[in-house]
Amino acid sequence: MDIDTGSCGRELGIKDEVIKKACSISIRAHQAPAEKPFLVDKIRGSPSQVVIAFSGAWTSDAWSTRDGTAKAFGETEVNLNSFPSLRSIGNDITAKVNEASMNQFLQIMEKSALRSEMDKATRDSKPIIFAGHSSGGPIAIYATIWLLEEYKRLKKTLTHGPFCLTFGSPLTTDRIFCHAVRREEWSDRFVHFVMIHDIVPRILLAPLSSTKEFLEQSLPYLISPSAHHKADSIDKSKLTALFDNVMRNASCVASHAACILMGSTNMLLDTMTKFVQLSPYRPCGQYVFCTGTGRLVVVKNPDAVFQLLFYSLQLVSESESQQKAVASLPAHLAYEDGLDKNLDMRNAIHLENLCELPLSSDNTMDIATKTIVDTLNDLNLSARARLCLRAAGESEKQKEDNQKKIERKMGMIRNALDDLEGYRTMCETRGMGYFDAFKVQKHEDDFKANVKRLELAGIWDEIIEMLKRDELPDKYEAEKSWVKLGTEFRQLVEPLDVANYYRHLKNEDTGPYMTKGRPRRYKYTQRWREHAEQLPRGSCGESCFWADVEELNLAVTSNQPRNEQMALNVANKLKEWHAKGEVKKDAFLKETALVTWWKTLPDNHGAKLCIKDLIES
Amino acid sequence: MDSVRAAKPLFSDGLNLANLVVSSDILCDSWAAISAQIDGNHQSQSPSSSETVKIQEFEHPEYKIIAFVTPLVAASHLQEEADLVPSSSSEASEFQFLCSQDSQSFAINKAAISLFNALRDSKLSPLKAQVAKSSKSIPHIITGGCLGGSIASLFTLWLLRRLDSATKNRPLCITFGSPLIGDDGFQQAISQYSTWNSCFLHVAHMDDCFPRLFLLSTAEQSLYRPFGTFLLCSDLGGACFEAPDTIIELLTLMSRERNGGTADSQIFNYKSVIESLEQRLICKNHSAFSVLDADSFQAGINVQVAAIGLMQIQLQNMDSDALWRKIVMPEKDILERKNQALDPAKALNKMKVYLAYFEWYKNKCEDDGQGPGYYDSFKNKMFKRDHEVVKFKTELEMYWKAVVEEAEKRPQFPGAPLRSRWLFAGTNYRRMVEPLHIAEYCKLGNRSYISKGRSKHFKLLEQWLDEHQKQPRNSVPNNSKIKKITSSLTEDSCFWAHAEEARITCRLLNSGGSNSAEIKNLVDFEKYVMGLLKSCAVTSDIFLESSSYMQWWREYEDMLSKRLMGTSHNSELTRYMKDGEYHCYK
Repeated sequence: MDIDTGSCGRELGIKDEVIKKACSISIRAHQAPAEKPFLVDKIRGSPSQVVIAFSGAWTSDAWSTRDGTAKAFGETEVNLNSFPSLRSIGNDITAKVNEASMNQFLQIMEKSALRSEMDKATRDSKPIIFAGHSSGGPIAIYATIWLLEEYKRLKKTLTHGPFCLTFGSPLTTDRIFCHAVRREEWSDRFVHFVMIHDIVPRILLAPLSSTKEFLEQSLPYLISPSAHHKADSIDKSKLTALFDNVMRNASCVASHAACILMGSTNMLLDTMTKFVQLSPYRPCGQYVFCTGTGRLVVVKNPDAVFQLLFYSLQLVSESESQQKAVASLPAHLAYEDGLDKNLDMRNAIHLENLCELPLSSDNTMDIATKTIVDTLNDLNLSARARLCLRAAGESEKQKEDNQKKIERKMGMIRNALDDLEGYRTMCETRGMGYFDAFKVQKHEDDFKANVKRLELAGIWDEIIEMLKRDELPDKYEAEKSWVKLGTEFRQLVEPLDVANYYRHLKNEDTGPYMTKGRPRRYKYTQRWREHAEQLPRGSCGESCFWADVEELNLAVTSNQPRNEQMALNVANKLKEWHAKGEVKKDAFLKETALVTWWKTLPDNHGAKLCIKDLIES
Repeated sequence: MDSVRAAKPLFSDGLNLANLVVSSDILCDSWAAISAQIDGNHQSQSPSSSETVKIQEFEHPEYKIIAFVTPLVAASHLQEEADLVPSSSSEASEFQFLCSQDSQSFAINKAAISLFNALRDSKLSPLKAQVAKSSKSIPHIITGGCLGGSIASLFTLWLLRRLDSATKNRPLCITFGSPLIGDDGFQQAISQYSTWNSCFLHVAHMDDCFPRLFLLSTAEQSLYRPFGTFLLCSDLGGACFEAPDTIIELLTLMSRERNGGTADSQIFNYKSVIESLEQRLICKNHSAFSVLDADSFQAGINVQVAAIGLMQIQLQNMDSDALWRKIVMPEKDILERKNQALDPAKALNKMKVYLAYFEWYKNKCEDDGQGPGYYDSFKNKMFKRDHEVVKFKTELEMYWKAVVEEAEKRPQFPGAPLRSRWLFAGTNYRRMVEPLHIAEYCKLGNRSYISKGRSKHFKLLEQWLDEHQKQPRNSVPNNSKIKKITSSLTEDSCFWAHAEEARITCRLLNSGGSNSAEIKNLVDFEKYVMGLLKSCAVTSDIFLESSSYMQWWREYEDMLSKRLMGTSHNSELTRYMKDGEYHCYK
């Protein structure tokens, strides 16, 4: 466990002064008139930076769009056109965010000068710090992602890339959002400050219907700095009820998450989920918890952060309920003071090595352990809370171990691919494409290739299974070595799977390969490459054009009308893929299924002309 | 490449599960449904009968609750009915379906099953039909307190049996302070199906005497055993436990602590229990003891035991060894066993590779129409290839024998021993490999393979496939089979056994003159083969010149010419064979 001796700000890649300034601008932003949704401030230095702070809004229309039909927690899928990275790649699940806050951001992008402010700063190579307090937090997160996507699209280095600082921001992003951000290695650019007694970061863990009144009426009124002192005027019993409700819902969703972290095998959990409403929102990025004693605790593991959000706000005793509830509101308004004081202390603790977290205090501790124990006590963590944090650490470790395990299999994959490459060359010397040779299964080599195919399928299917069960690290699907190996595997081996499929006539009782029979190991690896190279979805079909050729041939033998669109498409794509070297010349050898089909085309057919040169050469 | 998770359990999730249950609304909604009926039920003191049981449905946005409420019973009265009714008796006939190879018998509490039977036709049957129907759109909670909980449990089991295996909305049965209802056979029968076991949540407070009623009554070792998940609670909190041994131990410890508990004949009020649990959710839990840091699993169980208020007793009366042995180990065992059982699918890919070897072997033995076919090649064992393939045959046989044995004991799904994916893989194996077993059997001069020599796992694989295809939703239209013959396998894996029998019959007839039984056998065989040919259910390798089938045909043709089959024998198959039509069978 490291105890950071430097200042909190420097460790995070952002200077203390910047954090303080961002915080104070974020709070001032609430006071700006409605038509000014953000404030801009420059910080001189080298390099000089630009702070853009959002106010956000808790207004009724913004937080409960489409009343009645809205989801209990107001979530919606992000628009992948604006945020192409925000999904899981292989599993292909789109990230969800709170709809109202996302709409606010989109409005601001469309109607305000935000875009030109961003362009200006980028032009001058000034890093932008997007910031927001309370409802401004989510807007700052989306703005940061938006700009990061822009960097990615233009393939710019992130040296002067944006950062995001939020203060008491509610959770508005789901676990896929977090997964995607970690995969893209953007996670460290997000730093969220949370006063452990602040209710607002947890508030969206409860259904909107139960928190609506507070969010729409009380909070917007108090949030302007000039009204902070009126926090006392809020009805204490209402506040206590709200607090209890939010905490109860937080307990529900945190317990559910903890069961999964602990690898629960009790299927009651599964049965239960049908009966329980769980908030989809999860933390994303690194968190700095500010304890009541003024300690700063940095946590990067998102599962641990999630557990901490619940456990750090637990009551010490039941009688404390009202007191803590009442304190949870001023805590939300106290970031400027709190951080000002704390950042000077320069003693942030980094909670790492979670698997070995001490569960209780004993006397024989060295000083480093004692600091950790004190920190855990400051965070108000009971033994069961600490077990949850251990589970979060253990889960992360297991995912990494799993990746190491499959990395040890890379050699086996490599060898099998080399063997199949040899098979392909041999078929070519026999004057045959390996697709057709494999389909006929006449020689012993064809059989050996089939065994290799099956061995590879076994290894890859297990990897895909792990991805489905979320048992690999977030970054796995973006690892260059795996994307490359997956592409190689797919381009070389998928034709054999297509051949096998049509050899056994599985199309007759199952349907065409592409819609019914294509194994996940190829769908996933295709998506990996498309994502890594920022290609349109579905564009990397170079490994499965044989399935189309087979269908076209089948249509010819059964005298069905020719699918002109498909024919042209295949021909055009083939030409393109051949030019790029992704489809090799053995596809165009005499007597391949492709050439057989090509010969059935009339001489003046577009598809015929398109690949004429390739076939005749 | 086992995923790391499959190893030893690192954590016990009993507290988190309890927190999840308590922080959702299901407990308080369920109890509210029960108490809404108890209030109107106060006066009746007569023993429960079918007239006095109340069943009512309550609607909630996310689910429906069905609550069973029985009149108050005296604990002493119930204790008199602690007898167990064996599964073989007519009283337990509705639950015979729980019996399987692995748990052949069980016993149910007499009071519970009698009340269930009394209600069955008038109330429970229509209710079952109704719930099964509406389960398609909304999930159900089935609940009850005390004896009402026992009825709720039995009803839920009965319902689970009825629900489609594909039902997404499995019911959740929540009982409050119910006595145990079955013995260890009952518990084992239910836990065969983890999905069924996952539908039961039993809430038991340490001051409530009913949950441990039948534990006390039978002195040393109780015959009763809990199933499902137990949420044990005290005034200090609650935790979930899953291992029957752990639950029994804790229930017993609780009773020792409380010396009796509730006054007789008083239904325990869970309202305040639930409220207190809810309040504790958001309170930090103080552990008054120092937990072992090293082992997260034991620490977890320690915290759970403390949460239900038992740590004090443990400190006084039980050394930590006993705690480990009686409480921690059973929970850990059950998790380990589940983790091991999680994925038997891994070897399946390897088996596919072995089967590919067979496919190649078959291909080589046919040798473009020049070879004898793999059946005869293996039978004669003239080539190296015939010996090489033995190793794969052994591997496949070992694997499938184990899978079938396991599925017979513990069906992968109620009513379906193997899931489709396995059943199909097993069928491919059977069709490919069983002919080689027949070859070995007949090579040794044995007769009657099907009745005397056939391995049980082949029989079961075939039987299961038949049962699977009988279900209407599983039948696959097969109109395009004709083209498939060459690439698929003979459907009846015992084809060669029939052919061998036919050859022997021929020889008998040839040497011993006419015999009507043998003639009939041959006529039946002809019909059988013709039937296969018409439905394209046999592969063309039987027509290879040196195959056993063609040898039979030549012997048979010879017999026909000698008029051994009668003077005017003329069947469809003989015409088919004589006219050489089989050359076109492809």
